[in-house]
Amino acid sequence: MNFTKELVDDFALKLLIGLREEENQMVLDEFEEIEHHMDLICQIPNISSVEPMTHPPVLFDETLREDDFVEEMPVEDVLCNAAHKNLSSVIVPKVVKE
Amino acid sequence: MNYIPTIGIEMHCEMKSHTKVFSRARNTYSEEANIHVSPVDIGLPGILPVLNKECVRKAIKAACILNCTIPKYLYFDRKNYYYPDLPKGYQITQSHDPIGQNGKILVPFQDGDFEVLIHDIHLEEDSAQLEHIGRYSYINYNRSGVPLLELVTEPCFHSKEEVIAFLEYIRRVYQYADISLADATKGQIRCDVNISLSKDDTLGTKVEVKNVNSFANVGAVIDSEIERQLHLITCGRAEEIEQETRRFDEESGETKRMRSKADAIDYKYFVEPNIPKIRIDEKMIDEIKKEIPVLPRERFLKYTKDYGLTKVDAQTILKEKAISDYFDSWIDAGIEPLEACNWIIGPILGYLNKEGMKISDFEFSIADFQFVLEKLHDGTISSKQAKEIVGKMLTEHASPKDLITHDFAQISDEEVLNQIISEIIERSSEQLEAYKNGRTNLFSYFVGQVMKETGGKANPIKTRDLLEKKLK
Repeated sequence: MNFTKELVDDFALKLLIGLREEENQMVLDEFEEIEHHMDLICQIPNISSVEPMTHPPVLFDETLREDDFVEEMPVEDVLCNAAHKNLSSVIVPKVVKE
Repeated sequence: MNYIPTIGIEMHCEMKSHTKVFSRARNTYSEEANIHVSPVDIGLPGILPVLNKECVRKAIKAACILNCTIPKYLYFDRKNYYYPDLPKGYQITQSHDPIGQNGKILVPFQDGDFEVLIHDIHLEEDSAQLEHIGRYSYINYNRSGVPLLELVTEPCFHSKEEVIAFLEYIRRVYQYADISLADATKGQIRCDVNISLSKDDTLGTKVEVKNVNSFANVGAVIDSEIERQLHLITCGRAEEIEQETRRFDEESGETKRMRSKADAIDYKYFVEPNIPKIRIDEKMIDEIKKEIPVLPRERFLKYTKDYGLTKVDAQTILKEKAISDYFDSWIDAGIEPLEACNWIIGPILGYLNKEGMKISDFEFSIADFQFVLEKLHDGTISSKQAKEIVGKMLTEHASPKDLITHDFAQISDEEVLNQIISEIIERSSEQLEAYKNGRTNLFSYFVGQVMKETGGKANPIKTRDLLEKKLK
């Protein structure tokens, strides 16, 4: 699959994120790099049934965290990046139909 | 030809823990939004989830109770979708290898049990809470990252009643095993309901109704969906029943279409690489199994079969584990089960309900009740007096010993009792004649008169002895 400017714009539209020209080009450059690596992987024989490796250091006896409270964020910090807020809630345009 | 409904359930239940499943923010309900939040819960750059041991133990406990196969390794998957309630853009859940698989559980139903097959049970994080007001949606991240257990059954139910019995039973099991408070009023339980109709053993076209927030609504969804599908079949429009996702509209009591199978979201599941695989060893499972208390079904059988309690009384005691444990402590103290049941579901639960208290707040010792019961059994006090004494104990915090020796001091002096009895017989000539002519049930009349005369303080055993002699 070859990524094109139109394809990237189409995905960006579907993800509701909208990209500027320079951002579109940045994504295309990154995809080119990724495609290059994928092409290299495709040249390796007999790998169709190999599961992707998800946990390279296989240390299966990880210690689980105790159920202790440590600290929470002040509500002002939670809300500081929100474009719109009301009292202590983040507000977005309504996401359900009537 | 009759159509048979086949129903499968996905039950999501918030778990009980101090902190969230992947962060150290509090797992607690609050009216104020966004006060129990950590950077992990709102997906800030650079965050890493760290798994809560308590949640893992409780998920394994649930898997054991449901007789599931538990995998050797615990790991998670990412379920990717975009929505304002999911700040990371994915939910950490279990798709490939859930913590419990292929289980089954017996559920009490009507006069017996029925077996429910469990497809799987998995541990995951809850999303943030959305509230839709006017033109806006309000986001509260307090719920983001709260531990959730999702239980998925096989399509093994064939009636609304079976489904409700199952949900009620699992809720009680979670409460008994301390896995969840399972409080539906706080939105801690949500269900997805899968319904199909068919004429035989083959499954019909499945319709999924998502996010049903109460057991009553689960019942309404099943009724409404069966009616809708039957209507389409009888009108010759069966082809209009399609595999789709619907939602329940409480106002109309009907299900509404959300999306068809063709529009189904591709969640692009893949293994969550930020949480290491955890080995679940047999020793850990054995330890957890030891923490499982005797569950409601087993207690119900013991109470009804071994102790002779009625089903209604047994269910009353089983409503809460704390009450059931309290009942068991009376039995352990040597009190007869029927007597223990009568006192607990009568005066004690009545008092707790009136005062708005829980059994854990109940401060009276079993020894106090035992003392009253001993005095009742040896005839020192009547059953009416015993009830009054317990009533005073509860409301006035009075000592039963003081009450019995002072307020409820009995008249046992034979001379005094004989005098009272003679006076009663003298003014009851009609009743006396009828009694002597064979109306022996009038004996109770004379006992009642003595009790009335003495304000209930006459020793009941002595009263009966003396009356029998006098009436001969």
